[in-house]
Amino acid sequence: MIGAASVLALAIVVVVLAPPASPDDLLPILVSGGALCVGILARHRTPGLAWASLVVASLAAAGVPIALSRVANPGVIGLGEWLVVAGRSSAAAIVTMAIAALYATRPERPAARRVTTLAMVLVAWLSAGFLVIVLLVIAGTRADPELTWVDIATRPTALFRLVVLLLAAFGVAGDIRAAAIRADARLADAGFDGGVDHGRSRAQLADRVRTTLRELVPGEADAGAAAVDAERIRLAGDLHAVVLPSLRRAIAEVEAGGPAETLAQRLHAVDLELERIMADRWPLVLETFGLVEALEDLAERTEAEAGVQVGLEIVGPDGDARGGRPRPDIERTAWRIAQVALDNAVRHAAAKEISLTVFVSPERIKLTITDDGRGFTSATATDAVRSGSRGLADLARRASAVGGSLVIDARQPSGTIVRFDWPAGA
Amino acid sequence: MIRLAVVDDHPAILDAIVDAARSRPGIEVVGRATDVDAAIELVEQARPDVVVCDVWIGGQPGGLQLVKRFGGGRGPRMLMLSGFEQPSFLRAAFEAGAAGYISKASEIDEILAAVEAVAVGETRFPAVTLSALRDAPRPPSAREMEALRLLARGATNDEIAVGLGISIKTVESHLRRLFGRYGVLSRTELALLAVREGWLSTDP
Repeated sequence: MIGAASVLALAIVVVVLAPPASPDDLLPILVSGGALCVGILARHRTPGLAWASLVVASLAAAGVPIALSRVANPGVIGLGEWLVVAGRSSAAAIVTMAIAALYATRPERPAARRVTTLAMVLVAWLSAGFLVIVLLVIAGTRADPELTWVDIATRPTALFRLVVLLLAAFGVAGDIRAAAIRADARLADAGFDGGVDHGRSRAQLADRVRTTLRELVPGEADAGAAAVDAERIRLAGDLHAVVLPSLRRAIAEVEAGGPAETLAQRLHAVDLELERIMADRWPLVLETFGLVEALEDLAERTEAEAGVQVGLEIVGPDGDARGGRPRPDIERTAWRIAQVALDNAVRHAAAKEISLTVFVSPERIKLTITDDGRGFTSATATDAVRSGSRGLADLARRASAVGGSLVIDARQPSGTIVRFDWPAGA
Repeated sequence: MIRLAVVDDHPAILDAIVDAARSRPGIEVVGRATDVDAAIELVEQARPDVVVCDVWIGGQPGGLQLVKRFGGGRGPRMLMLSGFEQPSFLRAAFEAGAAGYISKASEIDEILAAVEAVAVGETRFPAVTLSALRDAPRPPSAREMEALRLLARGATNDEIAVGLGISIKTVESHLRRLFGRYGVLSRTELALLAVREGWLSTDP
């Protein structure tokens, strides 16, 4: 449907403005051209923005022939010429309204049927209005001697802008409402109690608003779904590449009459492999004991497996943790960032020493991971992305998804520093 | 007669332990439960001497909840069963007053022997079941060594923090990691281990 709207808007802009326009029309031409480009470019990623841009583009373009038709006097320019002018302005206005009506009545809208009816009535009425003007002019009659053709032409065109804006407002309201519904569902998934105390605190309200704004861009949510798919495939790949061969080898050896000790050894290896694959994905210690202990666990495992030193420093006010924990999705994001940063430092940067610094409170997480590895250049980073390693891009997206920021810097003379900062209600 | 209750959300494991316990002289099975609420009711009504309890029940650390509620006081002796090797779980169970913590991979006879041991007041925290000792544990880092040196001299966490110029939370974190890595549960054990391993021999 938005494709059809784009074509309509393009048609208005081209047909209405194609004949050499006067220099006075430069501004509407620029505005409508720019808005049209935005609309067409954004139509997949941000349909709401695209619709609004298309409405603006056609509104700006339609303004040119409408202004022209107001000053055109059939008595001066002749009936034929006047009909062309009036026809162009009427067509532009009606198509503009149709685009706004399409936006207001996009099928996924609740209450779309009532708005559709209203839009159809308005379009029909204004079309009839334009027709009546044309007929009156052709017939050369005036019903009311006081009423000039200019008045008759001006009334519907003034109304026309109002109607288009009204329809567009319906569209925008529908977009925001749908996004708010999706955002609430997402926050509920994330363990955020949006159902009962609807934004009781300012931080909660800010979370709701931010998530809603994010939901206005459906591409963002799609990227999240794609990341889940990718993770499933990675899990299957790990099981296939690591666990299955060990199991099959164990089966083959037992069938060939191998000793029980070998079987036990093989199964032990499978056990360790499974445990590692699970620990990467199911952060039990994180869920049960919180971020600090989970980072300790991560640091210990990295030290044991990779033979590097991982220091952990906890900053911030001392005292018990009775203030509570950050939201579960924030904790998971911070933990995931630490995990990937450690993994990168060990595997790609050949770091010998890594240090984590963390500040945790229910309203703020600051996490810094510094290593002494060989760091990166923009060239190696680009290569990594090209070869399918999307780790850093995924992390940055996850960080912004929860309203945090992720900064990755090269250190001097070598090494990498990864900083995650999450303020509640940012 | 030891009055035993068994709590596990996994029917096969529950059956295996209950069956073996029934045929063991000196143990009477007074009840079984598969979720936290049923376990609380069971303990309050049947008043068992020992509860064998899974750490992870119904997708959450329900066993830790139970040990926090009943462990340490005059209630039953809580013997935790765990499929997890993370030291955090062992430490949490210990701190909540569990009488023991053993791996789910243990033989049933071992589990029942542990039941008999905790029933007479012993504790069973066999550190060898933990992943810490799966790989040969590595020696403490330079920073950890400094903390150990102060700890062995009897310094409190505050004093260690001041001495090393780090936060108390970081000191606690250092100690938790050392506890986990070497499978010990107290500062004293840690200090003894450090002396025994000769980590502090360079100390003047």
